[in-house]
Amino acid sequence: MDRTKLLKNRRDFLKDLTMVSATLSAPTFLVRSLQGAEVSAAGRILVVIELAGGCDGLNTIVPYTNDFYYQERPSLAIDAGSVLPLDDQVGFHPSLTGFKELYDRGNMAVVQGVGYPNPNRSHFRSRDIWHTAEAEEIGADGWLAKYFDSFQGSGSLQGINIGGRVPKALISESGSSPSISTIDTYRLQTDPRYPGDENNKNAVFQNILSEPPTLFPPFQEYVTQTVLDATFSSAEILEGQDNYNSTIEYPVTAFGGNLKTIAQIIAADIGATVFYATLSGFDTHAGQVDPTDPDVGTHADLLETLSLAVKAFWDDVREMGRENDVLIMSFSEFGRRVSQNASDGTDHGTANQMFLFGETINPGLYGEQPSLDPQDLDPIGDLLHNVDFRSVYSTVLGNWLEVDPAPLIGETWPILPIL
Amino acid sequence: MRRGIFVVLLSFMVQGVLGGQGAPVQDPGSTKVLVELPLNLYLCPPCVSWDSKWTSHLMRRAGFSAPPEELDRLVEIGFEATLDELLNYQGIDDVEMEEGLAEEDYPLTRVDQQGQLRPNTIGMQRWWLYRMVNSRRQLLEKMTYFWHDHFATSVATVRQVRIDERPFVMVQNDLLREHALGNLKDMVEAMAKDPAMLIWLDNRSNVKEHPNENWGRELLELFTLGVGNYTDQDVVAAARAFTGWGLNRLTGEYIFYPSQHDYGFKDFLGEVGPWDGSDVIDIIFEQDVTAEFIARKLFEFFVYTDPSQQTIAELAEIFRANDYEILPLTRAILEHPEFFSERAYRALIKSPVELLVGIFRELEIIDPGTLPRLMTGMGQDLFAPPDVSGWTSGVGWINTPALLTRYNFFNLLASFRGDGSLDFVEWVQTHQLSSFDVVGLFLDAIVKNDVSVDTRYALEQYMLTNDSGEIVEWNINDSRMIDKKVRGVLYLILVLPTYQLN
Repeated sequence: MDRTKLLKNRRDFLKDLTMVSATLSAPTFLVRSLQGAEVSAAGRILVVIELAGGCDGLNTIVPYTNDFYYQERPSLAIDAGSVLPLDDQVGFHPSLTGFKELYDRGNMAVVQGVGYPNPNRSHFRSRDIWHTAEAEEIGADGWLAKYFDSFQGSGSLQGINIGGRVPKALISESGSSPSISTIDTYRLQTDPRYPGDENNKNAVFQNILSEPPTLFPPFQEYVTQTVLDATFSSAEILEGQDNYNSTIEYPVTAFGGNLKTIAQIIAADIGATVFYATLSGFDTHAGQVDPTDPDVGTHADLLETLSLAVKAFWDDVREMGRENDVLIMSFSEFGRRVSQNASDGTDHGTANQMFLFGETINPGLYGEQPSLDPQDLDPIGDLLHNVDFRSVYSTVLGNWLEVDPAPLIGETWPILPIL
Repeated sequence: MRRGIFVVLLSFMVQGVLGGQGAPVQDPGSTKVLVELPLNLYLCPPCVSWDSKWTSHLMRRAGFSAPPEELDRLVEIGFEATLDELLNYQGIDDVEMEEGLAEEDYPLTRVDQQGQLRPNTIGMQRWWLYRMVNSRRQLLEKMTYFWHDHFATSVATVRQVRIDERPFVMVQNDLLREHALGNLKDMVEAMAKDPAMLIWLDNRSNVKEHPNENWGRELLELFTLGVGNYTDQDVVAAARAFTGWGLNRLTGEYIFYPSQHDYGFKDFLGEVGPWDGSDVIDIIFEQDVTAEFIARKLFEFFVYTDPSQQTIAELAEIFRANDYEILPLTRAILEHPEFFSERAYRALIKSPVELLVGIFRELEIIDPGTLPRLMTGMGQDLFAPPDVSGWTSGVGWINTPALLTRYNFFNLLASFRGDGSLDFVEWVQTHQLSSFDVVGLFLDAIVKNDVSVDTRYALEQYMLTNDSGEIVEWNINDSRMIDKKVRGVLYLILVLPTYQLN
């Protein structure tokens, strides 16, 4: 692959379209991505992992010396002998061997008791709250998209979602980040019989896309912009894909594949600063554990998928020598009810943990494990939070991405000494 | 006619027998003239003429689009008759579709590695897509699709099969079709006792000692009231009221287990009593917000997003006045001046189902063939919505990998040269088509001419541009040029942003 030529083509393409867009409102992404190069100057990368469905925190970081825990979860509680202790109060679920290794190596921080006031137990509303970092009135813009927008001329390519549907965190009124499933399928094909006609097709394509989307606003613009995002990002990744030559074996799971895709794109060095991956299935109202053995079951499988994939990804990042550049942060829209239900499951709850992984991180436990004493729970029977999630966001924005978090998060939140 | 062109072109996906497949291509010239505004009906305000544009608009929304001949027919019979065909579907004979479907005999189950009978997801998807493509009861299928997204239940979780070998998710689909234009309260009651739903939202294990809130919560949040119109305490009360509701795992029949039911008093939406699930549904339908929630969702499905509060209040009033009958509400939406407004025109984004079923109907392909696999890449697996909130419609369909999958599918379609594909060269030569003719025919059939002058010009120029970028003469004897450019321009029209809009 002649990289110089590709690069030149891309610049020309960009230039053409920028000239057009100087007079039109449409392809703003192009303008942004041209000017946005300096944003990632620090070279720092944030990988956000969403545990969708409401991960049961109490069976993830297990309060294995707490009597209330065992009382309230007769068929669900993880045996104290099975946990992988973090200290004399809490320990990892036995499936989290990968996490344990990273924790022991000093690459992991656990923030306990994270939540927000007046917790919302709707998946969809609570997810929106986490995605917009607005707990009272939910805004239109995702918190990461606001981060991108805060740079003059920064662009959608700053963030990449892995998978299909782009999360709200990466969408603002000025645009959406692209989404990539696997890099092998992430490209536009044209009639294989006539490669010589490809340029002609591209020219028409360009022409159509640079047209002002006045025919059928607003969706015509949205579609147009997404097509532009797709063609650009695929060209960029195509250009850099040979940079990736890893020896790390990822677990054969969809989520493992997604984290590998992130590693491939990091290697391609296209300047993206935020990656987003989602592991779904945590809504364990029923059958969270095997009735005969609380150490195994749906939730245990999910945690294993998570922990092995993160471990492989981290090994990969180290092999690339990029460990000082990458921070991983995980969250879930809520934790689950202290008291289990009769279906070997748990209903929607409140406060939960967040995990951070990095080379330069100050490892250990942050926040406090909320009290499980029934007297200390809210009226529904849920945990009270003691760290606001916006404190964690602010810490990441301020001390990792090195921007002023207040304008993005809306107010000033305490910074945690993690980074 | 166009029928011949597209049927043959696309027959690589056709696995069944296709009537028109071998038919000789007729003079396409006659297709260039659309019916010229017979003005059968004025809808006022705002007066729009019942022409090909608005007929096509109605059929894209109230159905899954329609082939050109069908549009011509509907223009001729007029708006009232068209609406009548859509709404009073019982009067429409659909035997041909049912027979064709029976003949296809898609497998709805399969035996898994453990020897268990499980749903055959691909088979079920083809079964439904066949209905969508071929049913003459278009609105009924469209509404069934709407309710499938509304009461979103996934085969990924609900793997059980009824003793007569019908998967429970199919049982639910039958039920949704039965109630699709019926009564909403009846449908909610049916859903509360539907085996797939009892499994999906865990109500089968919702018992007095430890209520499971999953169904109770989503009933309020997603199915009837909408978020913000109830409290967490109401969720707990609703869950308690539905304790003891379960099913016979073999027959799927609803069973009430009195010993598991909480007979205590519950405070639900401010009303206190020893409510059971049916009482909760009664109370839900005493709330004004229920009619508004559903009217808004249906309006946004059919017309455009973010309607005025007044529009929704009026529709909700109609809905309540008709005792939650869905048909009069649907009629009111399809007759609404806003439905025939410029604001509504091409103002929705096609879901993968709408896109693909639409292409198949526009181009008259009968069998959905390999469509299910393509739909996964575009982000929509029928019978397997991502979660209980259904699919994120609108811009949710438009993300980069989904668009690449769409566009690569268009390329596949346009460049297919396997068995039964059309010989474009012969077509062009037989009818002596100029490059302008070809562009004009395709633009009319595919995007109803909803393109700018600039785009049309760019496409016309493309037809005449050689590999070196020079403009050359259209040479009807140059087979390579014809094959390349006709297929190329078909692709370029399918990828127009406009074609992604509904």
